[in-house]
Amino acid sequence: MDDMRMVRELMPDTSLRSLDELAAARSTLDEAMGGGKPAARRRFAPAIWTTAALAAAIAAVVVLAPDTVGGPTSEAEAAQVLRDAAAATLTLPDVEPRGNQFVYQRSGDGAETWLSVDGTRDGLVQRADGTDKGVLPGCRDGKRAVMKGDEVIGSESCTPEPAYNPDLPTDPDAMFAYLNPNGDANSMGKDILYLMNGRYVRPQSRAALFEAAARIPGLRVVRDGLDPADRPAIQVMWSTDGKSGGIFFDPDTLAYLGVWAGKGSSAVLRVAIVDTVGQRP
Amino acid sequence: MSRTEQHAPEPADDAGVIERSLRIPEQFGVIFDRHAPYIHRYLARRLGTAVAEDLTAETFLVAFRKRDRYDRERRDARPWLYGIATNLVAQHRRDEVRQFRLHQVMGPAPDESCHADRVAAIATAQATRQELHTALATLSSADRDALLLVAWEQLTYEEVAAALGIPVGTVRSRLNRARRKVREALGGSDLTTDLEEESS
Repeated sequence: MDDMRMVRELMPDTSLRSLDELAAARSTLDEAMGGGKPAARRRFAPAIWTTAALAAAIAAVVVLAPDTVGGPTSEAEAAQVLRDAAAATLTLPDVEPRGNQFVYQRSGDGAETWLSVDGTRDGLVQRADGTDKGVLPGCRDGKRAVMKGDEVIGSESCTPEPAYNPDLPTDPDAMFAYLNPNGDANSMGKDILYLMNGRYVRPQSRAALFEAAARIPGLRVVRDGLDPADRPAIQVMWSTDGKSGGIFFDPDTLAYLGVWAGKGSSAVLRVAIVDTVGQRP
Repeated sequence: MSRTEQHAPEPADDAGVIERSLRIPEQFGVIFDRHAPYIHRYLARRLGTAVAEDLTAETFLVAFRKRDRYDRERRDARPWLYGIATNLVAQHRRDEVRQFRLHQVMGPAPDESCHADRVAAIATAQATRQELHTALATLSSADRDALLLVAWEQLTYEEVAAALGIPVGTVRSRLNRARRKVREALGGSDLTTDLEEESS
């Protein structure tokens, strides 16, 4: 197999911008060239840089808006469901996990996961019947075990992947910027599904997450539906670049029920913070 | 003062433009107009479109400020600009690795994002892509820079050497190492399929 060709195929499909589209960047340079001193440097102070990126991301989302499968009314309604769910989330008990604990989740299909809060401890995933048990090696000192079945067959360099990120934004604007490193709503949808399945997000951040999700273009809402565990549900859906995702909420309380991801949909039956792998709440 | 008011013929190559820009700063805009779309695309590929425009602006600001140190033997400024852009990528390395990790954990489409499904079955093509993403995420940044400048931006070894300020022999050894790791990832599909399950 041609390894270079394979690497090329991973290249994100990014179009070449015209100079008109790069006018903002050009004017930054114009300012520096004209001023004869680095006047534009302050523009790139981290906080302001983030705001600029956010503005660009919002602009991009507005341009993408024609995806209106559910029509504008449905879109506004879906956004409202998310904002209401955000408000409901704020009434949840707020727990701050310790780094040495685990996020436990039981899903509608019977799978259970224990993910290390700080990403350095070994976690576990197993099916309801105890088959397909799999250790999720933690990342310690930049190294993580490589497993084949139950057997450690080597190690790889790594960065810990915490199941709980204490630095997650709690403000909707900051959350939107955090979820949009690519500036496209599709990556945002995936990040939301990632955070909401198996990980723990504290109520403030979870509210910010739903508020940020309300800005995804082409949202639609399915009422009187069922979640993957056959519980009554309101389903908020998005579809960008031909890929769909969504979140289920309880129709009465707007409590979070799970994620819609095609055949990878998952109903979250229980989330808890526990002290050891294998411990159930 | 705009460029059209200079009434001077535009020098043919980048080295000449940069030399002129030492006396007439606005001349440096020509460098932007020639190369900015490519630098922007490179940054978008590595870090996403949200940050690419700001970092494109920053690349050319840094270039403008460093233009007095430009090696005028190099007629084409492109490798130099790629080098500056790559330094900026380094400052956002966590974002890039996070992107690779997300690809690795989430897969290319949301409908295969659930760990339960991944435990059950992973299509070979997807597994291969994920293995490659894993491989790219775990390369050293120096090896990854060299690999992506060649594979994605189609720079020659000499251009990569100029961009990164390293000897051509070092480019070659970094590429060999990076490609070996990629091939290992492609060869050991069982191995990294297990990793996918573990990262859920």
